[in-house]
Amino acid sequence: MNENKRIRIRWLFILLFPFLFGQFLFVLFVEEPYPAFVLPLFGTIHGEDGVYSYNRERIEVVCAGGDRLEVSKGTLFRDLPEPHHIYALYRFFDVYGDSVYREDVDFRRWFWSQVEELELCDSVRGVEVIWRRVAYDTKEAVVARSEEGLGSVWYLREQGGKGGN
Amino acid sequence: MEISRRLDHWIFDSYYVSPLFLGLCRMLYAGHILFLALEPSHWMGRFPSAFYEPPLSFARLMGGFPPEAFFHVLNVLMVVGLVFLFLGVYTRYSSIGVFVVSLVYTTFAGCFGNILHSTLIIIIPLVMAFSNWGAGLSWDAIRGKGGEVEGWPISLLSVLIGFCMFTAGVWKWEWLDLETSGIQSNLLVNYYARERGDLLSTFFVGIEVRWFWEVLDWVIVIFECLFLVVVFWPSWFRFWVSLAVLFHFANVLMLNVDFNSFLLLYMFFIPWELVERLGSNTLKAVERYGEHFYGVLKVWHIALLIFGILGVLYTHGSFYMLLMDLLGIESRYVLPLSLFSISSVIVFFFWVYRIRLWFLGITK
Repeated sequence: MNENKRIRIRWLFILLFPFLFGQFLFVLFVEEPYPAFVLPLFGTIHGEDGVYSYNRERIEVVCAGGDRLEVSKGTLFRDLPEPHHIYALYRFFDVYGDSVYREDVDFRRWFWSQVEELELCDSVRGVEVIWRRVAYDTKEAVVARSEEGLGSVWYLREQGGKGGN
Repeated sequence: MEISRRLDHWIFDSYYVSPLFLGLCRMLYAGHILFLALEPSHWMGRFPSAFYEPPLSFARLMGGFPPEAFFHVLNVLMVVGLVFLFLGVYTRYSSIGVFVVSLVYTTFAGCFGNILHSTLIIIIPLVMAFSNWGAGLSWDAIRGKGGEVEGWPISLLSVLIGFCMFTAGVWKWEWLDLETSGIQSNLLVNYYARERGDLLSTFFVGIEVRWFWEVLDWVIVIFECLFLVVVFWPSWFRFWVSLAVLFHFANVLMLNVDFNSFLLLYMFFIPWELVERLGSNTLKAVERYGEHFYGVLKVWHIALLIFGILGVLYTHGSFYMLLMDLLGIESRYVLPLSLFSISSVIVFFFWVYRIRLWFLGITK
């Protein structure tokens, strides 16, 4: 290897460290969700005083006749590879306020085509997403599980509207 | 002067892998991605722009996902690039090409809000392109255009691994809180919310000894943070990498988190010179016992190879899972993982020797 090349490589290494340090500061101060260079962060889901909780969804397709059929997020977002389901779900419910849902024709077309492809009933009235907060208390000798309802969100087929309770 | 000399030694002489083994690493990387990990990307083109939340990247210049046709082209480019890389055809260019296509794919895939932890895996071909990993077991080598192997990209890779593990560890500083346990909360979320209840997870969920979880929290944080420190001592780094394999394996058992792709990173730090020596000595010993015994070993080795492949198929696909279900074996991982590990080690030594002979035959 000639000396010029060695010098270039040496400089590459010397500059790499401040670059990585810059990345570190970027992630530290600019914050998630988009660190440019972070690897296996196994989540930092922390409980206070040993209580861990998370929100869990239950998606139900409601037929015109009143029948209800549960579908998983993996079924609803079946075109997505597995790790993306949960993020798609959060993105979906974070963004779609009533007005956005009514106005976004592309989204509504996509959403109802996904539901209809499942062929769960002859006519779909809507989709209801019921949210619950599940908590695990690890302070005691036996882990205690508790659940709390957080309400639900409706997506109606005909009116193209969204409501909540 | 002394610092400069030591720096040079660390950069250029810390790691050396022979052309044969570097070629093997290249084939393992391309083969793994091509046959086991590659996902078609055209599904992204089916999603409305409502899901489009691009990270800080070129994707911000666009208002939504490109059409499906774009992703079909991307799929074709990826497969062609990986086949070229596997065979070692224009290795440097195909390596960089595979990196660029992977980057485009992961950037768009990241637009759903999911932070993909594959950064280091996709950066491998970019870094290793400059190591001349096409110098052995390649079309380039046959043409006499493989170049000379260089070790500094492996040192560079060690810095990137060290940094990434450090960032993974430093963000877990909250785990050091004596009142709560980070690893236990991850276990519970994985077990109950993500329904990952295989292998030893049920056993670990049942452990209610507070200090056990606290010690584990501290060990993990210290282990990950020290990764950046040991980068400067290659033998320690190799040791840390071997600990990392155990660490990931423990994650498989406890959290059911797959770590296969990380082996693609760690394989560059296997002491290949030792493997070569062991492989060649073993084969010499085997040959001393004559053809008959060698024939028996050959059958055994083919059988183990088949088990190994089935093990890989199992961990990656549903075929083997179905077979296990039919056999009434409930544990989804233990058997194939054990078979895979045992057979890989044994088969590896045999193949190393055979490939070496084949390679020497070609180069003569």
